[in-house]
Amino acid sequence: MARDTDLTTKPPQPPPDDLEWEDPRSSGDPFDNADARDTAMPPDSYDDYVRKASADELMGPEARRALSAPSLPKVEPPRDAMPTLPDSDLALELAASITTAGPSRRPPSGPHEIPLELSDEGEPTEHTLPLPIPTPVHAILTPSVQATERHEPVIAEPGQPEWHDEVTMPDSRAPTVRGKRGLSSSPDQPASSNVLDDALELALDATGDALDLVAARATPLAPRSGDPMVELRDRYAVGDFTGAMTIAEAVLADDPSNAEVLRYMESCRDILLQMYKARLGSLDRVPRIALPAEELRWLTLDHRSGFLLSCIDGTSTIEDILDVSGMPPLDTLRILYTLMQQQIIELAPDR
Amino acid sequence: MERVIGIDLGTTNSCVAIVDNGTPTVIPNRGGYKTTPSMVAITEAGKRLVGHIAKRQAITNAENTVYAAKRLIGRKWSSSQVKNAVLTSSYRIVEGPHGDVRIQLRDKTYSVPEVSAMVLQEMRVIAEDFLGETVSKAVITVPAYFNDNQRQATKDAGQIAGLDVIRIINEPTAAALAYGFGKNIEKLIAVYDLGGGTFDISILEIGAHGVFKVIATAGDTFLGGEDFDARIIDWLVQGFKDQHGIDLRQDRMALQRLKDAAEKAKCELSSVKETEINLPFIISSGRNEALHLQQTISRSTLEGLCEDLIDRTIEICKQTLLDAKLDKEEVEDVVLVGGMTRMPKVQDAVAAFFDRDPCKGVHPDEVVALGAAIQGAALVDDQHEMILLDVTPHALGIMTFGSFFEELIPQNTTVPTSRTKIFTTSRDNQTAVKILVMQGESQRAEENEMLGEFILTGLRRAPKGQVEIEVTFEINADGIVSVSAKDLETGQQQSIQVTATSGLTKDEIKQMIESAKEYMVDRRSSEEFEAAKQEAEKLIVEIERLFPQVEIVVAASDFGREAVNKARRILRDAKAAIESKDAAAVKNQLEALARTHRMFKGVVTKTQ
Repeated sequence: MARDTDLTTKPPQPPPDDLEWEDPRSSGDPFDNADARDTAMPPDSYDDYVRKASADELMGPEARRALSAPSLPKVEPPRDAMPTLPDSDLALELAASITTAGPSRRPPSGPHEIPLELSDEGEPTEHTLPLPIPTPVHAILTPSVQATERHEPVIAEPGQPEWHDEVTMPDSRAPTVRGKRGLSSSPDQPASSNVLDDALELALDATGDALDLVAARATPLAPRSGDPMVELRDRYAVGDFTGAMTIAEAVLADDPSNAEVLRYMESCRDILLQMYKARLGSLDRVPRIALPAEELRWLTLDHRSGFLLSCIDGTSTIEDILDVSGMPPLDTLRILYTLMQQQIIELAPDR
Repeated sequence: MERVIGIDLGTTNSCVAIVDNGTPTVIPNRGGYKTTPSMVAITEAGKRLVGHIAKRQAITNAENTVYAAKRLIGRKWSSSQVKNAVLTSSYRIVEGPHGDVRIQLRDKTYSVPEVSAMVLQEMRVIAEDFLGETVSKAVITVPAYFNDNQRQATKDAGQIAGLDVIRIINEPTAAALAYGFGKNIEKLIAVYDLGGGTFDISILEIGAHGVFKVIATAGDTFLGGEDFDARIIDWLVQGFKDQHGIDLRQDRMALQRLKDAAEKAKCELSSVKETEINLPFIISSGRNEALHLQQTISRSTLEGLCEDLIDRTIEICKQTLLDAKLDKEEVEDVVLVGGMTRMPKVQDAVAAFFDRDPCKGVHPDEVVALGAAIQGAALVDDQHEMILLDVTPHALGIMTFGSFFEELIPQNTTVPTSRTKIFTTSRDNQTAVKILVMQGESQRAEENEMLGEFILTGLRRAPKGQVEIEVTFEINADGIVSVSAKDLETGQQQSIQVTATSGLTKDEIKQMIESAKEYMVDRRSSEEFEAAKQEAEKLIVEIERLFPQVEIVVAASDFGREAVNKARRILRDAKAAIESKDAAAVKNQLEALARTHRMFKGVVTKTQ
């Protein structure tokens, strides 16, 4: 796979014609405090940040390891569903043109696909998830890309939504605008089989170490519009399904019968479930605690993680743990996956 | 000769045993445990969980986990025990269409025999997996105090589980059978059974020729190992609250962990003097940090916490001997049954009360199932001389004026039997009498179980006490009770046949049998698929590992390339079969995969 200089971590320069992309630092909105934002503005200049990051000032090596992108199991899709990988040069060219183009105004709806998941090494992982086909990604399509490949608009960074809660990278606003396929903002459209491939392959193919990957994946979103539905659609469109679910839950708290939000919610849940299942491999695998018991207590875990750790007895499969956890399956899988990422647990082969 | 399994269908745990080459043996489950929790749960996804896995989520999914279904089996909705259970159970108990009891799990209602059938089905599967053959006959044990309806309901549960229940026997009798197995003894013994949820004390007479007679039995259906666990949990919760100001009971996950840890500590304290309970990240504090629970508990602390529970069992023993008009000196041996009797303090208390060391020759968790297996083997083996006589578990009689119970057939009467008694009218000019057939030992009729009723009409008008009515109770060899009332003056007669009922109709039972069969078919086919899948995946991994080496070796020849392509196709087809979850398709691919694997291995070995 071709590697190039990192193209993923530069903060975007909003184009002048993007009315919805305001610089939060200059706006008077309640989010103007960078610390309060989900995806914070870099407090330092980009170069300062890179220097600090490379000197491990921002986080220790353990944190870097914990936050690094997942090592995904190879899932071979059915033959007819195999994505056609782009010619790497062409793909890079596309990526470069997209990155430099930066965000633009929200485009009209159209067919899209979900971005590919990434491995620790920045390798794209093949997927066969029945993902919905969203309508176009906001603010990141460029005419050149659209002209190059019809129906394959550029996607933003794929959602690594579970990290949004946990990781706030200084340069996380930098959108990684790569690849050739776009995302849908609608959960209604049927799933596409050609998903999860080249965009991220390109995005992380450059030079990225783990830190780069995290930075790349901390997807920036369009500025908050104030309308939760807009934000819900946006997050869904960029693959931030966890974020979309959070918004959907908030909307449903006020309006439990909102059919559209329920559909989004359902779709997000399904996608995330499949993502985590794919990442963990077979549900017949048996998790084992990888650390000595006396070291466990020094970790920073919440009680739900603690509970799941207590369910791991070296003989129960992931499926057994899903059954006994009493938590929603998505939460259970997410926590197990995080524990695996943090190397607190390891997965043995199928029982 | 078909094998018969013996099942101890317990309130909290069940156990299955078999007589193998003349030796009674307990069959371990897949996890290697010899007992299986009698718990059934339905997950959010509608999946049925039985046994240990159901127990592990019993608190986090409390509304949909049934435990202690045995306390409800065969009981009427109106009974006080059911009313008590409605108030105390975490799962929903509702009234059935025939005044029986049903349990609501998720969106479906189950009868109690149906739930017990799920446990029995699991025990059957454990036995079948172990023996590698189909099992259809079983002997199931029930508490000695179970009435006919409860016994019938247990039989129905067995039938629903696809078992032909050839005999229902009393738990203490089964324990005594195992105790006396291979010995020719005639003794009066006490069976002290402290299980997970119930306590029973029974005094039995082991007579010549294998006659086992339950002389007295009593107990507490809400006293068992779980109460001991609860004391440890209370102690831990209070300690944590004192330290952190947080009530762990408010968090289900914390409570589930506490329950598991308490039970584990309790068991450990039977063999060690102290043990540590270590539950990291038990709960999150208000400052968003997880707190750990770490506590050491000693055996003496546990004994102090549970002293009154042990005393309660001794009080019941005392009362039972008193009721049976027996001195404790007359008891020649004490058999301990139930996991809780491993606790040294319990053993000491029993020894102190009976003035003798209890018998340690039988395994407390397994003895009842072993006894059932012994009985099962004896029933199908003509060579066995042991005869276990069927006796009436409770007295039978009728209700008389003033709500009194008049006994006709005493408890423990060997069947078949027949008894007659003369009654008279209770008021002047009475032309009809109502015969209420009851079962139980209480002199107060309302405290006994009503089995049926009928009216004898056309009596001569006369002052009270002048008309004589002969009431006859008859129990045939199949245990069917017939009651007749005859006006001795006119010869007019009415009768009924009392058949025990579990509260389910024949059609309902039939339907439940069918759905249990369907479940088993699904389960077996899914297990079959899993086994084939695992074998296939193992071969796929091996073939893929060898692929690069084989490709290098065969690169030069067209024939080799073709073989490699073929191998690729086989791999692809096998993966597709696994993906489609089709057991037959995966099985079909196994041979091709094995052939490819052999071929690849051969190629690689030759080139080395």
